[in-house]
This record gives sequence, C-alpha cells and structure tokens, in this order.
Amino acid sequence: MRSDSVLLLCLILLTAPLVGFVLQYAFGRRLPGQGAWLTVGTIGVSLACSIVLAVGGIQWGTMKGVFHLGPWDWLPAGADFDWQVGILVDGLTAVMLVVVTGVSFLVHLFSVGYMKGDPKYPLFFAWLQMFSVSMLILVLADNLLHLFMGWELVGLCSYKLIGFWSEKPDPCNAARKAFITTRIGDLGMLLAICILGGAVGSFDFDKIFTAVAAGAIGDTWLLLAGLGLFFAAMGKSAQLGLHVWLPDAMEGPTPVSALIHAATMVAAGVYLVGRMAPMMLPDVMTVIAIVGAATALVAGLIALAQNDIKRVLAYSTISQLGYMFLGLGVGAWHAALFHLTTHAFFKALMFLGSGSVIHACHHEQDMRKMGGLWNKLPITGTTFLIGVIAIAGVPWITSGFFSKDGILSGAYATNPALFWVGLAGAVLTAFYMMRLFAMTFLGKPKDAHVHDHAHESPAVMWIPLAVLGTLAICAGWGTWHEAMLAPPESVVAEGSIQTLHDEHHHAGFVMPLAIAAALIGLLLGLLVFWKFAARVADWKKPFRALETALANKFWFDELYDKVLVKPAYRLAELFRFVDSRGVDGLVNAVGRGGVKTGDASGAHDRHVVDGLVRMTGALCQGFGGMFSMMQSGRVRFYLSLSVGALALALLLERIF
Amino acid sequence: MLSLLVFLPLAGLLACWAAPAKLARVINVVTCGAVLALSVSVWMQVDYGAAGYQLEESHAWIEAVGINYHVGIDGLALSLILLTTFVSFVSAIASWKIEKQVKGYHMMFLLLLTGMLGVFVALDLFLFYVFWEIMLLPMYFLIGIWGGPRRQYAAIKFFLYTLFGSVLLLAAVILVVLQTDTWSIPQITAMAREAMTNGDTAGILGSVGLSLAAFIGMFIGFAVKIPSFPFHTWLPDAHVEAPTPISMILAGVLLKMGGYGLIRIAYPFFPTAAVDMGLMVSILSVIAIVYGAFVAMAQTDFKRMIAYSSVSHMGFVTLGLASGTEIGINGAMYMMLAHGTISAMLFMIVGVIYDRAHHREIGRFGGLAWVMPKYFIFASFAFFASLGLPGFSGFIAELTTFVGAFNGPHQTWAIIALLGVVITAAYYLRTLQKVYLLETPDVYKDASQYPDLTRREWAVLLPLAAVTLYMGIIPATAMDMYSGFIVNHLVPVLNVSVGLLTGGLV
Amino acid sequence: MTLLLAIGLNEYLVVGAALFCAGLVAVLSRRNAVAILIGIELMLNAANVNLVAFDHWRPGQIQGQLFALFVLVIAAAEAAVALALILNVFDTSDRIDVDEIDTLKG
Repeated sequence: MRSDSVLLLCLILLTAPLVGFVLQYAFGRRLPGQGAWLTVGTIGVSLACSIVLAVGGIQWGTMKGVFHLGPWDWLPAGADFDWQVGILVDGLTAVMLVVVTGVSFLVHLFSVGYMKGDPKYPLFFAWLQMFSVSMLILVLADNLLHLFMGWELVGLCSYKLIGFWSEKPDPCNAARKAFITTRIGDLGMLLAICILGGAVGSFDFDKIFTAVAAGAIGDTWLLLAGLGLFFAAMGKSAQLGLHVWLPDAMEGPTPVSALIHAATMVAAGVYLVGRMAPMMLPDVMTVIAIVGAATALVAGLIALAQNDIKRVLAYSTISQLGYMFLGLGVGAWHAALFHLTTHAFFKALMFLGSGSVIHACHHEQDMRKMGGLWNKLPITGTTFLIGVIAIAGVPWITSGFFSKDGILSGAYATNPALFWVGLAGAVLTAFYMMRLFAMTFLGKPKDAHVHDHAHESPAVMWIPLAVLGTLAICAGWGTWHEAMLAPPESVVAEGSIQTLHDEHHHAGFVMPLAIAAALIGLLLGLLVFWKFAARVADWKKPFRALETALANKFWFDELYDKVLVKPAYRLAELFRFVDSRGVDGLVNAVGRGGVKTGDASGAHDRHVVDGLVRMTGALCQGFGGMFSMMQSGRVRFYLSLSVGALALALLLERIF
Repeated sequence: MLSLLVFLPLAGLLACWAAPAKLARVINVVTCGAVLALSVSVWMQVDYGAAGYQLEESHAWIEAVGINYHVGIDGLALSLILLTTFVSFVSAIASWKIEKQVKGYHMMFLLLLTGMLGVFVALDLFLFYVFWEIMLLPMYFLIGIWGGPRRQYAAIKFFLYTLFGSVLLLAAVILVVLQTDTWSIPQITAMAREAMTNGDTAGILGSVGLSLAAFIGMFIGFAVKIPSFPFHTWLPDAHVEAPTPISMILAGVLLKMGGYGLIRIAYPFFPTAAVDMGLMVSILSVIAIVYGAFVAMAQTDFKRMIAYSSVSHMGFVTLGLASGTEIGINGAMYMMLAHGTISAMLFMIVGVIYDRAHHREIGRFGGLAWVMPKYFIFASFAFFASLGLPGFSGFIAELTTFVGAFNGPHQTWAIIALLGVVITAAYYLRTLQKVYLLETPDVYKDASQYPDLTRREWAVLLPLAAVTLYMGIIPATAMDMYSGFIVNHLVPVLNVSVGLLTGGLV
Repeated sequence: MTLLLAIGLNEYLVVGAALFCAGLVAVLSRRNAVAILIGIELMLNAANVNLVAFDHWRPGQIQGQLFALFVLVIAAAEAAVALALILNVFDTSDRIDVDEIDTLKG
C-alpha cells in the first residue's frame, strides 16, 4: 500500500465518527430514527477502512509494513523541541484499529435495540461516536503527547457514558470515581511525558527509543518514566490498587461496559505498555509482571463471590487485564497483545450477552434470581457458552486457549513462580465463569416472575452476539497474529522482550498444565453450581471468613475512603480554615490596626498636647487588636501557625 | 492607531454621558465592538515575527523629567490586547442585565477598558503606571456600587490590596528610573540585556542587593494582581461581590496584568534577581496551585469556588515563569490567554444561574441539567476545559507549563504541582454533580422561572467556547503571536544570568 | 530485584520522618483531643527511632539508647498528665473537641 492511501484511510476512519458525533450531538433528535442508524453507518465506514488497512498492509511483520505519516508541526513552544502530531500505522495499530472499530460497530448495532425507549437515546450514540474517535486518536498516535490526548478524551467519554443515567446518584458517583482514579494514574503519564520529552526534545516513539538506546536518559529517570507509564496504565486498565473504579463503572449501560470497560479503553493501558515496552528497564518489567499476576489472582478470587452478573464480568476483566500485564512483564509481548485481541472479542461477547440477559429479565442483574434461562434464550445462551469456553481456554478450538497458553509459557520461561500464580488464576477463571453460566442459564428458575417474562432479544441484538461468538472461536486460528504482532526489540536490555522464536520454544509440560487447568475449572464449576447446586451453601460454611473478605472485595473501597478521600476533604476544610482565619484574618487585622492608628493620629492632630499619650495608647490598642485576632484560643490554629513558622524558617535557611 | 484604540472607549464614555440613559448599553456594546474590530485590524498590521516594537508613537509629555507619551506593541502585548477587547466585548453584552444607574455603570466600564488597553500598549514606565492606576478606580466603583451585599468591604479590600502592591511597584520603578535616567521600557530592557552580556551581575541598578530588593518589590506589586499566594485573599471577596460581567473582566483580563508586568518588566529588568528568586517563586506557585485547589474544594459558594480555582490556575503562570525555560514561559503565557476565556466563561455560567435562583449555594442546587440542557452543555464544556482536558486550551497551557517547569531547575516542585491536576478534577466533578446532575429539586422545576439560555447569554457563551476550542486544537496561532519576545529576548537573557550565577559559560 | 537495597541509616531516618509527619498531620487535622494526644505520641516515637538509629551507627556509645528510654518514660508521664487534663476538661464542658475549647481566646 502506498503511504498516501494509508493516510487517506486513516483520515476517513477518524473523521467519519467525528462527523457522526457532531451531527448526532447537535441534531440527533431530529434525525430519522433519532440518528442511531447514522452512527452505525459512520462507524461502519471506519470499520471498513480499518479492515482495508489491516488486510492491505500485508507485510506487517517487516519494516516495510510500517507507515509513519506526518509528523506535522503543532505546538511551537520551544525552538529545540518538536511538538508534533502524526500517525503511526504498524501491525499493532492495525490490529487495534480493527478491534476498536469492530467491537464499536457491533456495540452500536446492539445498542439500537438495547437502548430503545431511553429518553436520551440520541445522546447515547453521540458519545459512543466520540468515544470511538478518541480511541482511534489514541491508537493512531505516533507520539506520547498525541496518545495522551486520546487517553484523556476516552476518560471523558467514559465519564459521560458511565454516568449516562445521571439522574441517579450511583452512576454519578461511579463516573466521578472512574475519572478521578484514572486521573491519579495519569499523574504517572504526565511525569513520564515530562521526563522523556525533556530529555529527548520530542515525544515521538521512535525518537524516544533512539535517544534511550543512545543513553540520553539516566537510569533513575528511565526507571521513573517506566514506572510512571505503568502507573498510568494501571489506572486505565484497573490493575490492583487502582482497580476500584471498574466494578463501579458497571453502573453504566451494558453496551458501554462491553465497549469501554471490557474491550477497548481498559485495554489502552496494555497497549501503552506494549507500545513503550522497548524502553522499559528490566526492573520495571518485573514490577509489571508482579502487579499483573497479583491482579489476575486477586480479581479472580473476588469474582467468585459476586452475585451481580456484570460485576462478575468486571472482575473477570480486571483479572484478564492482569494476565496481559503479566505477559508483557515477563516479555511475552506477542502473547499479551494477542490476548488483548481475543479478550476484546470474547469479553465484549459476554458483556453483550449479559446485556441480552438483563434486557430479557427486565433489568434484573442479580444472578440469584436467574437460572434456567437456557431454553428461553437459546441464542444468547449458546453464544455465552462460547464466551465461557473461550475465556477458560478450552484447547485447540477457542482463541483464548492460544493467547493464554502463550502468556503462561512466557511466564514459565522468565519467572516460574509467576507461572504458578498465573496457572492458579486460570483454574479460577474457568471456575467462576462456569459458576456464572450455571447460575444464569442452567438449573431451575429461582424467580418465577423473572423467568416467565424472559424472551429472546431481537435480531439487531443477537446478530452482534453471533458475530462476536464466531470471532471468539476463530480469532486464534492461523498465524495472522504472528505476522501482525511482531514483537519489537528492547533498546535497554537485550532479550527482555521475547522473540516469536523464544515464545514458541517452551517447556513441554506447560501446555498440558494449562489445558488441565481449564478443564478442571470448568468441570468443577459445572459440578458445584449445577449438579450439586443445592449443597453449595453447606460447602461454603467453613470458608465464611474468606467469603466475607471476597464479598467485600478485600475492603479496598473502605480503605481508600478512610486513607485518601476523607483526609483530602478534611485537608481542604483545614486549608479553608487557615485561609479565612489565618491568611485573611491577618490581612483584616492589619486593616483594623491601620484604622485604629489612623484614628489615633487624627486625635494627635486635634489635641497636640494630649495627643502623644493618647496616640501611644491607641497604637497599643491597635496592635493589641491586631494580635488579639491571632489569639483565637484554638489549639489547632496555634499549632498550624507554629508549624508553618518553623517550616518557613527552615525554608528561608535553605534559600539564604 | 494605538492611541485611537486606547482612547476610543473614552469617546464612547463621553457619548454615554451625553446620550439618554436607555442608550447607554447600546453605546457600550457598539464601542466595545468597534474596539474589538480595531484590535483585529491592528493584528493584521503587526508582523510579530519581526524584532522590536511596532506601530510606535512617541511624544514628549513631561519634558522636565523626561517622561514621554510612548506607546507601541509587539506580539506579546498584541495577544493580550486581543484577549482584552474580546472579553470586554462579551462582558459588555453580559452587562445588559444591569438595571441600577445604567449610565454610570457603562461609563465606568469604558474607562476600565481604556485603562486595561493602556497598560498593554504603554512603553514608558510612567505612562504604564498611570494606566495601571486608572484601572483601579473604575474597578473600585464597579464593585463598590454595583456589587452584592458585602460590596463595600470587598471594594475597599480590593483597592487597598492593589494599592499596597502599587506602592511597592512605584518604589521599584523610581529606583530604576533614578539609576538608568530614562522612563523608556525598551531602553531599560536593552540596558539590562547589555549588562548581562557584559557579564555584569549587578545589572541596571549597579548592585546585586538593590536589584534583588527592586525585583521583590515589583514581584509583590504584580503578584497581588495575579494573585499569587499569599496575596490572594482579595480575589474571592472581590469576585463574589462583583456583578457577573465585572467578574468576567476581573478574571479574564485584570489578573493577566500581573503576569504581563512580570514578563514585560520585572523579569527582563532584573534577570539575575529573577533567577535568584526562582526557587522562592516556584514554591509560592506550587502552594498556590495545590492549596488553591484544596481551598476551592472546600467552598460552598459556587462563585467563591471558581475564584479559588483562578488562584490555583494562575499558579501555573508563575510556575512556568520561574522555570526560566522557553517552554515554561510560553506555557505560562498560554495559561494567561486560556484562563482569560475559560474563567470568563465560568463566571458567566455562575451568573446565569444566579440571575435565576438568586443564590449560589452549591449544596442547594441539583439536577439543573434536566431543566436547562443547553446551559448544562456550556457548563460542562467550561468545567472540562478548566480541568485541562485535551482539545481545550487549558490542556495546552498546563502541559507546556509542566514540561517547561520540569526542564527548569526546580523539578521537585514541578512534580508536586502535578497533584493539582487531580484535585482540580475532584472539585470540578463534585460541583458538576451537585449542581447539574441527580434529581432536580421541585424548586427548580418551574420552567418559567428557570428558562434555558436566552439569546444574549448564547451570544456571550458561544464566542468564548469557540475561542477556547480553537486555542485547544490549533495552539500555534496564539503561541506564534506572543512567543517572539520570550524566545528571542527573555529566555536568552535569563540563560545568560543563570550562567553568570553558576559561574559557568557566559 | 535490584530495587531492594541494603537498609542503612537513611532508611531509618526516612521511617522516623514519615512517622513524625504522620503524627504532625494527626495533631493538625484532628479535632479530638485524644487523637491529638496519639499524634503527639507518634511524634515522640519518631524521635526515638532517630535516636536509636543514630546510636546504632555510632558504636561504643549508648547515649542514644538512654535518651530513647528517657523519652519513653517522659512520654508515659506526659500521657498520664494529658489524659487527666482531658478528663477534667470533659467533666467541665462535656466535650473533647479542641476547636470548641477556646477559653484561652484573647
């Protein structure tokens, strides 16, 4: 393909949804069908362009398959500093483009049916379009700054869409929590931008890698930059510590959860780390692997004890993202990003499937009230089962098998301890997924009312399910992914990213173990939650403490509330107090003192003889008034004052 | 040309005085529109790529002491002039609602405009100071007469505070003039530059200590206007009491005077002292950013919250300046322009709801988005612009300031300032939720009492939003305009003085 | 992992400083007198950490340890006195919120 046709395709696939957003936002209500089909069309155009791009650039694995368009000058902030924007299309970008536009297209289609009758129907599609634009900006970026812009914009769209039903407090709080938590992560990104940009004089990926390879950045700074980038990725991809927002984000409409909080935006963290992997020091890689493995395990455990169908899926997403980071951390670059792709398909499938279930059950999300839906929802049930076996990694046919196996064998080669953690996570994944499936579709109906009214969704909703189901199976076939997701070479430590050859060359017992893990988990889940569902309660008894801990998600929310949120508000109150009493109080006191001295000098003028005495008195009074302002009698004010004075003294000493 | 620009508002003022009261607002809007058009035509004439000042005019004024009426502009001043005329124009439209003593109000408004434009075009220190003080007077009356319940307290506080700053500024100016024997800003700037290139750390005052004292005096004088911590407490009171259009001008233009003064006068005059005090300024900036954001979070009054957010954002200006890097100072300047439009928008948004509800308690609002959907679009637009989302001008400003400050000598402080980003997001989203989202209390459901935006309000908000968006997507237009002075003059001089102070290469 | 370095005097001092800051924050931000007292104890013990740490890196001399012991004893006495004060205040005014107790106001 010629680079100007690539440019043309990129521009079309970017502008189509942007036009859709503008039209839909401004005139959505007046368009036929409230504009929903228009947005399906624009995102369809994007999808077509992406597919042409992905298929057209056949030589993805080679340097010839990389298109670097532009860059164009954007921000003339400094002479020896280029702030540019540009487009980078390589195999990774092409895969991401197809994933983003593909899932987005199917989600649009699904929403046409799912959101029917919502009073803000057109607005929903407008923000879906804007999200697609932002995500495409992120993916097409050829530099860190440009990527960061997309990164922040997807945050905005996520905020808008989680809080789509913002008349109610829960979605509002969830949206706010999501935005602020990811923003805390963004601090790391800003730090990395400052470090890398400052040292290199450019944000361009290639230029950064070249400069790092040439040793332009000291090891400490490089370490900080790497950790900063990973911290940002942790926020966006909800890794352990910053994961608290993702389960809450399920307050948003289900198609949003499928698109943003399962398939695309949350994977942006993985994409970022994958993109920047060549400059990650081995220490950073180790941290990434450990955090990823811990997340995979802990989130899997928590998923076991959730009863809300979407929350189970949310924790499962966190856990799978943990796998991807584990893969990146141990150097299994190709497997990690391949898992990103397959996960996007089967997790979007399951979210949309859960949407179909929720739709059928009249917005009931509690699995304890479902059961026996298999006969009522045959298509949803079948596609959901495909999703379950794909995420569990049933061997040789499902896509999840290939990608997860790659991660596990990569982990075994680099860090066997993490391999065992990952394996335990794999058993858990299969187990809780089967639990979800059994509780929802198998067994006896638990709530007759919900069961009686359940009905299969319309075609516009089950067609996306069928397409995703096909992809969840077939995406792992063939070797397309090896050509498109060719691992880059690390510029800081040779061999810290495994080549495709290394990845294939692994210990012989890894695959049998992975297969066993999947099958044992599935079988166990089927037995426990279907065959012996009645006795589950008895079996759970000895694990009461564990269950409480899991049901409460290990008290992360409560901890953060106590340690971060409340103190922040208290600090704000304290600062307000200091500002109004301390800083402003002093000003007012000076003012009052001034008035008093003014009075006194007036008196001096009038009574020259007596004036001196009076003036002294009034002066004293003036200053007394001024100082008495400070004698508030409040211990905390005194303490703040003395600590402040001490700090000031130390500071002055340092400066002079 | 420039004189025409500066004194056109005075003509409007006279017309206001002569014409009947009901014509006053029309005259104001027309005059502001004419000034805006004139400033755009000035823009077309100025080649901001060229060095030095353009459209200069100079006449002897008080010959005995060498004072001239000397005006001229470069790209730096031009960008702020455009901001001034633009914000004044939309504020004039927003002033339509003022019912009390209409004639006096619009006369004061136009006088204020003259003062503001004069500050940006003056190239003579005396003239600069005169315009600086002219600005104070109408502002005092505008707050003191047309303000809210505690208007007199706020007006006096504002006046005394700024006067206190002006006195220090005046002292420093006199010191400079006595030593250099000229009032001309370009000449003194050139002298300071020459001293630097000659390796003379004593600078124009011939003494390191004196330079430091004069710089600190000037810095405090300008910092009161910015306002920089700990000289910020007049701002919340003034904002809360001032009528909406005046708040817009106050936040949109007046606060930028301080930054302009620092870039145009204090830093070029005393580069060594500026570098010396860099750490101190950085620390104060970071306190302003983080502390301002925290205080904003604890506010219950909508307008007061916005006022403190201004304190927090203007901290970026001084932070960028203190870095002494091209990117940092360019970023600081961008922050001034971006904050100019965004804060004007924010104050208009508070004004819109205050007009309808007659109170500003954040806790008492709720669900306004469902009653006034168009208004909500602008409100969330301004909130997200202010918290630095890409696509809006605030993002460019914050990012460039951070990168610049991080490349400067005070990296640690730049890192701490990053915290401000999170806290800013926290208080904006909290306010957004409390005021606009959730269920609408019954009080606000009455559509006749809470109509959506009127056409006049559209006319105010839409241009502001358009400029904010334009500056966020195509930042080169504004940055190319003002960066000449910074890149070609200020930063080289600062770099030389860094070299001198560290004893390195000259 | 090379991230984990040997623990030296600096690390102790950092722990001490962190403890001290935690105590300071507690003293400044809490309004409950008992909580403030706990903050003070934290600060005292931060000093103890430093004393003992310095002592360790100055072999052959035991003043640091001795001082730490003194501090412990005095802290105990101080806690006793302060608690007695708080109890008395609570008896007379029914509250231990230090912002409410401003009889020292000038």
